Amino acid sequence: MRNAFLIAANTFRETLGQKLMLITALVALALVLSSKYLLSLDLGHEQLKFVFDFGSGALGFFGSIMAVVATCQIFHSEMENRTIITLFSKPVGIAQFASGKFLGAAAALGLFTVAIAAATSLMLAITRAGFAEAQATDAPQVNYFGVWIFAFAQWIKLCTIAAVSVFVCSVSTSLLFSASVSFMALAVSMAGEITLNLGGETGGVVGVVSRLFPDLHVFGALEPFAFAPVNAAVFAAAAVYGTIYCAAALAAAAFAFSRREF
Amino acid sequence: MQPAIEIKNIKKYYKYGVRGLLVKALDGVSFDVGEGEVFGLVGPNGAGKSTTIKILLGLLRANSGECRIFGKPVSKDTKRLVGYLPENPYFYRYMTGFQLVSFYGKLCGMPAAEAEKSARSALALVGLSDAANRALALYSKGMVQRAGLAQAIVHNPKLVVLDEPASGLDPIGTSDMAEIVMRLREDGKTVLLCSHIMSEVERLCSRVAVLSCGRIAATGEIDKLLEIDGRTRLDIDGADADTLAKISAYAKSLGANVATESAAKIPLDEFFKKTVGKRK
Repeated sequence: MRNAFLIAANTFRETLGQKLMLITALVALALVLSSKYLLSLDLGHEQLKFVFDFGSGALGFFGSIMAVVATCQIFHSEMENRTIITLFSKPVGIAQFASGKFLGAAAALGLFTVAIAAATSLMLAITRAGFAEAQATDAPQVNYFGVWIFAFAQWIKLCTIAAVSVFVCSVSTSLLFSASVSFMALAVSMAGEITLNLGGETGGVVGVVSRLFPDLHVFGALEPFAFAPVNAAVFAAAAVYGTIYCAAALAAAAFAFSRREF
Repeated sequence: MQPAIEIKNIKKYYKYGVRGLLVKALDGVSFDVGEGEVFGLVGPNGAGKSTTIKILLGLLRANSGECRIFGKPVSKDTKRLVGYLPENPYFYRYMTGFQLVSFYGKLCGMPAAEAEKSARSALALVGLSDAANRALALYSKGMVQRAGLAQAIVHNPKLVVLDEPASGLDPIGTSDMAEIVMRLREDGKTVLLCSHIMSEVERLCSRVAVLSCGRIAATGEIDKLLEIDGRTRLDIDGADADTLAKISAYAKSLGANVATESAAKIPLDEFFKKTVGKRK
């Protein structure tokens, strides 16, 4: 496991050095920090919901882009730059490599999640502090602990998207192909989430698809935590689902990668 | 004594195109490398040198045949015994030389403190102590090659595999690299040297295998392979034309024949090293 952590630390450092990742993260952060000022309408205490949705949207949208692009980039750069040859000439296993790359990407996504969650919490506090007395009485209580639990679940969601990208990279030889297929998989997952949000059935083809691709609906169920008490069972279900999905995707990636030659 | 490398009848085919046409890369390659020996693997481009090395390192799978390192089949365990310098190495540009070498040391299972200590020694051996804390992005090609050699030896391997170690190096860099290989040999390491530079192989290796079209075209001790039957070379100092004519006549009287006669020359790379070395 030590080698996986060594590769993960190196990958984390490499990911932070990617300009595209930095720009994406900064844009997301700027959007969240300006959420209060982007709205010219006075929504009253609904403004809190708007600010939270902004943070949640930035985390989901930009986080998904980062999960796919960063994972594909760090995986393929090893192959394109042929650093993988030196790496595999050392006693490094395929599973250690795949999990190291995944953990490095997950750490970078974790840093991004913390930044966005902190910015969202700050904006919620600033917005609430700006309310008039009457507005403040009507406004719902912000559950900051719930906001962070939600953010943690979103990080697990981003990790499942990254795990799918790791699997795609393990069978593909081009960065463009890997990124395109990963985005397609993400689109399928998002379509499934919308279907389930609208009360769609999970039997038949949808059932099969929802087992193959990440079930993002599980993570969306934590959104109410920002203004309501945390439901531990819902959180545990999302965390367990995400962990099992990531482990399965990484095992499949390691198997597929072990068939390759360098 | 157990050979450091045993390669027996290895065959390797690459699949090509949609129909999976097979291209032969190695066709029954066999050779042994003794422990403590510097062995040369030479051949033209596409002969199968890199394929052989990659099979030895477990980066490629042979279609048939057997490959053993110190008596064991290639595995994660045998990789601990091997240090590898790839051809035209490329490393993480954001790392410093020290970070790179200690990173690879740790990957080989060395404790952090030991890997860092060993990285300093390896960098000193290849002459990169002064540049150890500089990012690899700022290294010249020769320095990257040296850093590559340092990462290959950081974990004190018993076998060092060098794929074109002098590729892109100037004659002084090549000479330095040769000195390091000789030092490795003195330390009792086995070295498999794969090179296009024949003078380098001739100078450093005791035995050689010549690969051609995926087969071993010749193998054996260099001195024996290069020997011209029944011919001896004499280098004579201080002989003018008259003396040389007398020597030639005397040889003839003894039944021998002076086959070639020319002024003794030093190799061009040695001349370059002497000339440029003076200016530095």
